[in-house]
Amino acid sequence: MLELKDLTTGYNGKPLHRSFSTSAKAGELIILAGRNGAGKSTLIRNLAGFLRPITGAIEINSENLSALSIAQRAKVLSIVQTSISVWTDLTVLEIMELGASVNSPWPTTKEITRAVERFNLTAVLHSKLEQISDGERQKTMIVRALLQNTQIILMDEPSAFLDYPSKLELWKGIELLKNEGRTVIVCSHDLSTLSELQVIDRYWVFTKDQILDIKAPLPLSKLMELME
Amino acid sequence: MSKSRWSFIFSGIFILILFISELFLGSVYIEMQDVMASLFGSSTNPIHDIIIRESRIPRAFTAMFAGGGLAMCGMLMQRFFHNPLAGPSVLGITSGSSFGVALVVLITGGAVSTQFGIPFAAFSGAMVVLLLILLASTRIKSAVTLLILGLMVGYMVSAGVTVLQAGANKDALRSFVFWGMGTFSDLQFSEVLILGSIFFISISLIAFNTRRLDLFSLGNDYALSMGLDVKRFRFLLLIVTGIMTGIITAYCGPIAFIGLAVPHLARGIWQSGKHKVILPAVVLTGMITGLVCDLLIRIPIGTSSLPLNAITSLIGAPVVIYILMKGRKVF
Repeated sequence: MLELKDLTTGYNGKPLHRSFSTSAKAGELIILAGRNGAGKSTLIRNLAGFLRPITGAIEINSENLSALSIAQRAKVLSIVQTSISVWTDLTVLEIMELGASVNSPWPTTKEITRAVERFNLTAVLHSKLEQISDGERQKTMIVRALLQNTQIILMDEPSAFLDYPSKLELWKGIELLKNEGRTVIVCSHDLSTLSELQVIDRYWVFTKDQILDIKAPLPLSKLMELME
Repeated sequence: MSKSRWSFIFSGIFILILFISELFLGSVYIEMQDVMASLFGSSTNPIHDIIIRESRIPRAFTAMFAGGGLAMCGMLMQRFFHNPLAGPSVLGITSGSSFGVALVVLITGGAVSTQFGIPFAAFSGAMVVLLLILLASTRIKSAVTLLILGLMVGYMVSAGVTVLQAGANKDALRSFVFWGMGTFSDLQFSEVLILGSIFFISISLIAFNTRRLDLFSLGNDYALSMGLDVKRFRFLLLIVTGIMTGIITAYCGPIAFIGLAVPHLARGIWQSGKHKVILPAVVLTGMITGLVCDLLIRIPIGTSSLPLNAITSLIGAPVVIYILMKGRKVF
């Protein structure tokens, strides 16, 4: 279980939000909704352990996140970022093979095949990352995170480069993860697509200076109103 | 057999042919049976024996270690900065060596020992810059900032060299310019052993970390989320590159372009991004480049021969131009 205790997030000591306390159980899908610059990605970076909170604590199964080593963190948390903007010559398959954390065994061919089929990536399996479309690249990184096989998956704008059918595929995939008992926390602006789906458990809505924890379903108009 | 394996076998054979050519070719022609006799200790010609054992063999090994080492350092820096146009010189380490040599050679008026004094001065200069960069890397998280810092240190140190040059006498200047041309030919066997030991230790350290390099190629955040201690890993890459570049520059002078161009050449041939494949590929291609360049500088031009740095740049620059023209996606 993920617990946020009196969490204040921000950069260089400047708080974006104050004292947010909540928890996320296994099998929950939580959407981080808010305007640009509201602090959603900052919270994702806090949850991933890349950034220390200004005050408060993040606990995973009653253990403080900052007390976990980098290797221990990789066993419980994985992340999918908005885009991959670095220069790499690795192929889709080679990235899948990296799948698990640095100290874990490599994923088996069977595991990779299953995950790749789920996201329709078989045709580009041997292509280099720079040779495929942005959407395929994004799906590659999602499958890689799935192969890391962690209890909590964090996603920062995973549908940013996806077309509508791919978005639906993505959310179906996320639903499967949720049904497997994983906690999935997604930062997304794709609220209109999300409002059509019945898979969300809760929203963490970013208002001007605080984060609200609201149970789904929530009408889109109400969500927009809260984000103002 | 895969194309990659054939490329490794072909490279091995090519290195062997080039190595043997290094023993035959030079200003003194030595017949094959004399080369063989000298190699197996049964030579009857003491002059040929000295040329083969004390000049051509150390020179061939130097070309291999320096070429392979610089190529590996280039690959590491391109990974470190996620930038295909980075090379071992971007950290300012080569400039540090130049400053060390300039300080000793130009101030003493060229009266310093080329056997010990120059390598010592070059290595000391390189290590001072490396320590500065390592110190900065503990405080600076951004690779781009570190890249700019390295370039700025390089510029400052180069300016210092220019100031020293302005006040130097003719003999000292000549000596410094000669060192700057680069060479694989001035090392004694004991020095080749030092260079070779550092070369093998560096390559072994990186060979144990090829999977980490693959992770690192996805960017710092992904690597961190997959369990890589990015801070410590970056430190390791800096230390290996700094010491390897420092020792090569100390013994061979500032050699341009091999570190920048060879990793791209190897990637083009092996068509792989996996460091388990690309590390040996880059090192072997670097060894080949070192040996080819060393053979080419033996072509007589009038009464002298071509400087090493002219050859490496003549080969390296077209490779870089080709990469740019090909429009390789960088970011």
